[in-house]
Amino acid sequence: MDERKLVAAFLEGEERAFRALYDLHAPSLYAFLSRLLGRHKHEADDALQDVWLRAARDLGRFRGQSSFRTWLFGIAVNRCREILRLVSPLESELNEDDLRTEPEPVGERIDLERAIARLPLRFREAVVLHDVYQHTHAEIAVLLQIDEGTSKSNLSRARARLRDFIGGPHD
Amino acid sequence: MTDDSNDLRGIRRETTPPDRTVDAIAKRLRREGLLRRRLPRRVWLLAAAIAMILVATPFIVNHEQKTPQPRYILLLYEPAGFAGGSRAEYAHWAHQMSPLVVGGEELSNDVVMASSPTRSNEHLTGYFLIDARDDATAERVARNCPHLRHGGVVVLRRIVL
Repeated sequence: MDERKLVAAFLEGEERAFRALYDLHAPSLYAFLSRLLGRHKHEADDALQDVWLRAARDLGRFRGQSSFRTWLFGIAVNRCREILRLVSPLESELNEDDLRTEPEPVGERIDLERAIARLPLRFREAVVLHDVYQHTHAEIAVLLQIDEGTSKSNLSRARARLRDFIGGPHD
Repeated sequence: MTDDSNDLRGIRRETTPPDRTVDAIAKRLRREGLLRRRLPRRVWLLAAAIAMILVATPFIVNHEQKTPQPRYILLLYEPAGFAGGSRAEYAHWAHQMSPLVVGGEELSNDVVMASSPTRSNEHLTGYFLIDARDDATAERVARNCPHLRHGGVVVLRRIVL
């Protein structure tokens, strides 16, 4: 059954359709939520549940303008922001310049996953959506409700910050 | 890190959530009425069997217990001084004649209403409904009626269907 039919059946309350869609998208959603939640990735399981619950409630408003997956990612982004506002209000509100990253011990390099987790939320969103999940800036602009220029700028600064963490050459 | 996006594409994009998560979500969705309960396979089979029986029942019942369509009415009149037979005798005859005789009632002597006085001195005292395929068959039933043996008068009429 193609995805549109599964979505329609899910809207009708068919459990098999929900489980089929879950099998298709939950692994990438879960990884996405874990990365976006950074240090709070232990919240990813609850967040995943909330995303599906919200998706089911709002499914009637899904018009298929984006893919179902992109739509789910949009819900996931919003849920992550809500969670981070609750568990770590300082982190979600600080901008890049305010946020001082704790220096790593001299002589140690951190891996990419840890580096992403240490990024400020808006940079994390940019780098995860664009570089990991291959969303275009146009899609990211819709998902995050920002303009494309901001998306590009966030990505550029996120990459620079990652280089600092990991120790690669700058542009 | 020479090419950021290439490095990042290499990192894992999927992580399997805990097994219990899907059931927990399904439970929450059902609680909110957003998901119908998934019935076990054996329950579906049972439901399907019951549905088939329900669908087939009217056909079976109609076939075996088809309501007879009376095509004739046998009117029973009592002339003056008619002694008549017993109600049980008539009932026994009707039972023996089934399925040709499909109904009948005894009428009270009291006239509830008449638009004009009846001219006949014979009282209509009962009737039988006969489901016969033709006049000859209906007539054979009528001639066999015990009412005639007791001196009564019968009239057989076709019912307009």
